[in-house]
Amino acid sequence: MRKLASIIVCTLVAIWLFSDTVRHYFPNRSNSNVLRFSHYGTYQDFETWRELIRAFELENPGITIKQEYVVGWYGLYDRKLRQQFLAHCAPHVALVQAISFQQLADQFAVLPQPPADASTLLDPSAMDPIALQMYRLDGAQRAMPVTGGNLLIYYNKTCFERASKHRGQIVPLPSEDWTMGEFESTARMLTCDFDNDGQLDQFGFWQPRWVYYLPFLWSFGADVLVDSRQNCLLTGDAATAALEFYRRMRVGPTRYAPHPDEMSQLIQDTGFLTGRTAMCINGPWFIPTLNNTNVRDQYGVANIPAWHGHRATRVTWDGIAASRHLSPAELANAIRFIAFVNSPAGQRILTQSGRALPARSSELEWFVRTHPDEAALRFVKALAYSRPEPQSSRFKEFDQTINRHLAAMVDKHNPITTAEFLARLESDHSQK
Amino acid sequence: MSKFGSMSRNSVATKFLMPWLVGAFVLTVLPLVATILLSCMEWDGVDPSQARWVGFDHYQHLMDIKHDQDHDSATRVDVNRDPFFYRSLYNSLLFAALATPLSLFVSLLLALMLNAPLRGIAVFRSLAYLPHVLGGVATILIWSWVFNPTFGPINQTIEWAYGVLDPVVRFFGGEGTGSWLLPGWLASETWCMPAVVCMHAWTAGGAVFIFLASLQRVDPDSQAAALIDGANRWRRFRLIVLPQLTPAILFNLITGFAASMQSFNYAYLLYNRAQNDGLLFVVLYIYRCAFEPPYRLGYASAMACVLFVILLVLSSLTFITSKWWVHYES
Amino acid sequence: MRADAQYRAVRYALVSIATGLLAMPLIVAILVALMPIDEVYSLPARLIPSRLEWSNFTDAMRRLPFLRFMCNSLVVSACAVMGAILTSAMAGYAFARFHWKSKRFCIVLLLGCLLIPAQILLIPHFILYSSLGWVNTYKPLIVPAWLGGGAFNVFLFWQFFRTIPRDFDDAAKLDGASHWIILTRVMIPMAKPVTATVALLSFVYHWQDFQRPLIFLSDFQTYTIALGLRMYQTAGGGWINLVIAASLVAILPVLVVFVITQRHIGPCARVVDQEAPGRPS
Repeated sequence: MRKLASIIVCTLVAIWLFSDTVRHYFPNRSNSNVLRFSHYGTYQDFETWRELIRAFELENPGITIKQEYVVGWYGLYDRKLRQQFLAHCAPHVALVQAISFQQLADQFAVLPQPPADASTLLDPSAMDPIALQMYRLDGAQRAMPVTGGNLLIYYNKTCFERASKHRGQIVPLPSEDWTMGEFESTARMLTCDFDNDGQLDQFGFWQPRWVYYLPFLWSFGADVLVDSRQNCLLTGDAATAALEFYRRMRVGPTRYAPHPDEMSQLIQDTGFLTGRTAMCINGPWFIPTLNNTNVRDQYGVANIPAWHGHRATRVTWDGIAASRHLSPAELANAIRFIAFVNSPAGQRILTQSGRALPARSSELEWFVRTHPDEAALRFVKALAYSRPEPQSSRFKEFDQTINRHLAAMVDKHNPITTAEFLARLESDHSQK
Repeated sequence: MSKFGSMSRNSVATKFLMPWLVGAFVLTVLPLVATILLSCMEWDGVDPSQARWVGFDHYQHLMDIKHDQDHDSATRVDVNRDPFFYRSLYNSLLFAALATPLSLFVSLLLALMLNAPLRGIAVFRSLAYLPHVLGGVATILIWSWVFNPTFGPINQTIEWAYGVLDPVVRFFGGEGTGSWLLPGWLASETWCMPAVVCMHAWTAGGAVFIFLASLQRVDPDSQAAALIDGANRWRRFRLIVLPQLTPAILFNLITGFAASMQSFNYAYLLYNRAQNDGLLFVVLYIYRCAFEPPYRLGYASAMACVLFVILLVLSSLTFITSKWWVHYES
Repeated sequence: MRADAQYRAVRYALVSIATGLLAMPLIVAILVALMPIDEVYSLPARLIPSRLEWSNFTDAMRRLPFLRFMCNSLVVSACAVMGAILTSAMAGYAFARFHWKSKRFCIVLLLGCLLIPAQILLIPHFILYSSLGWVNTYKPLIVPAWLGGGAFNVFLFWQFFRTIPRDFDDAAKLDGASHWIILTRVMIPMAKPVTATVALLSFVYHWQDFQRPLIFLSDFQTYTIALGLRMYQTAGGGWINLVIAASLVAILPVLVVFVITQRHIGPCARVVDQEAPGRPS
């Protein structure tokens, strides 16, 4: 009797131990009705996608989507995706970002385009043309845009009131079409040392990541890459003006942006909503966060300031792509899913939180209607002057060198001049 | 059926020993051999057919034993050398060299304080031990706030102290404390190490109970004799108490050193760019090489072997020297 | 007698200061966890929140599947603790009560296992578990605990069992008890300090373990609390009051286990002290 019992226990333990092993070596013959979809983002993004997948499965009872969520920032996700493609275990459908799409693009299927392929469910004509263009390589559409966001200036009215009281003169709120000069003087007036202890308590503006400076750079008419997308174009008067502006922001007696030391562990979000920084540059995803705090009724969104009547800002669109290594049946299901993501129903699920703008242009109207705050409307309107950053592997290299030299330019003790910055950049690139 | 005597003692022992024995072989002995073998291979861990035998290349690379082809100079080729490995080794050794004695000192001090027949002392003993069990991700996150250079309580206290000192310094004709240094802690290359050492010392309570146990065995007669001889407190401690503590000190020194050389969490969780690799511990670097693309398992294993040898050598040195300073009762 | 009272007072003061210093980070943490975010980042910093924001805790629970992480950790730790106690007590019993041909070799092996740094075994462990298909399951975290549960625990049990007089075994044997019964009904209950200490140490080890889950778990739904906290740190590093609130909740179970077992640590430390490895026998 006891022998039997111990045999049963041993068998159960062995089954528990090695069932995964068997599954590992003899995976179920892949069922074409199960699609693996992987994405990145915050936990809120995970829940949003889960909701969308449920809606899709309800509409398409035959297809099951396996949601694979990679925790953390995009870089990590991107590396994992590459590794999966190398190891032949890539997901069937994946969320991608334009910035590194080029290197992965040939791993993704070319999506059929109507009217040439009448059977397709995809409807590119409804999507934002800029977003669509970002995922079109050599005339082939390799991904469809999903949702996106552009950058605008957030300002905290409480900070304006505080500064007005402190200075004894009204600091005017940003106007509809303010200029770089107005921006600079406003930010300077907002920068205050309320208790006169020699340390600034409120900063006019903060922009920690330099890619968030691109809107300014572009508004000044400068650019990082020329058309060939190979050479750095941070030269000339426009670049000098933009960089001088960047430097004035951070160094010297009239600076209005904090040094990184002064904002330790405050990230852009918390720096803004605690009133340490009166203005910041951020995307629409910041709106729901702010609406959950006590700055709810105290913030506004302003355009990027114009330079000689010209303004531009940066927009990013996430894309969704299907792996090239799918059977025809799987590809058909994948396209069904992508089409659902692009459909009005899918777009509404993805953007109802207000964290991103829909890539389907016709849904923008719905988006503004469901998010009646002025801020949402401003982001939608600003799409008119938004542009993507260059998609090139060279851009990543520039990103690093520019980042390094910019840090030297705003060094606390020994900042280099704009001319030196440009010279260093030049010499760095002539070496390559 | 397992009635006593119905089975030879040998096989009963084996039965009881079996789980541990399997574990020791499968999880310690074999992996040890595997690490050594892997360190002579190049493999990304995905496809076994891609694994390649490279002999001692990794070690040569690590130790930079590649002499210049021009035999007229003994200069070494510096191109091949991995600067990160040396940096991380230096950081780990520095951390262990600072954290181990400090932790030892803190726990010894606590044990001496807590070795008194007071009412309620057991509660205090437990409280002193508590940080040891709480040390983990949660408390590292809490500490990272405590060390926040701008808003954290430590720098706030320092700033407050400077504020109090300011009039005094000005009174004596100084420039005031406005320009005095405020450490950047985890956001600075020089101060991140002291901060982490401090965090580590906080969890030192683990050794308190071992010291307490040793202290309680200290012979009361010799204490009393010394008291009669008129020896003061310090002499009594140095001549009678301390020698009896040396075995416990040796034990804690060796285990503490090994533990701090292997600590991973601080480096992984508190890493930021401002530290300029000041917190890149060798264990973190091994982790990165092995488990982040491009997955250089062989190279990481070679580093692990070097770490093992270093630990072994340093522990044995401590052990060998112990015969001059550790006193065992006869 | 006055000198004695003075001595007591000084001792109490010293001890209170020391424990107060040790408790400082935790007190700061509790205060920060109860602060609204704008007060956390106000200058000059405030120590006491103007109003207690209890909603920080509920917010922290809701931002990520926090309860799920806690449950995962509880399952892993509970399974591992049971295994560690059982298998290390078995090995300790064998070492303390039996003699067999290769016992010397086994002792060397045990001490060797104590000395080998766990870090250098991680890569082969990863290869082993991934070839078994165990990656992204809890098996790499639980199964090792059922295979001896660590050389140090075996060592503790061995040394403690040695101090138990054999008369107890003999009495049980006369009653017809098997070795298994002697171990589970006589030895383990008598070795309460060691059992409690091993339970505490292995619970803490598995609850706080960060590196192995980081390597062996990839799906966030299987994350243990340590990984979950890391997720908080990266996802909401700026919302430090929520991060710290989550951290405080995460250490509660450790606190509970500690309160239950703490009175046994002292007696167990005495065993370690007497039998510290390295002492010539």
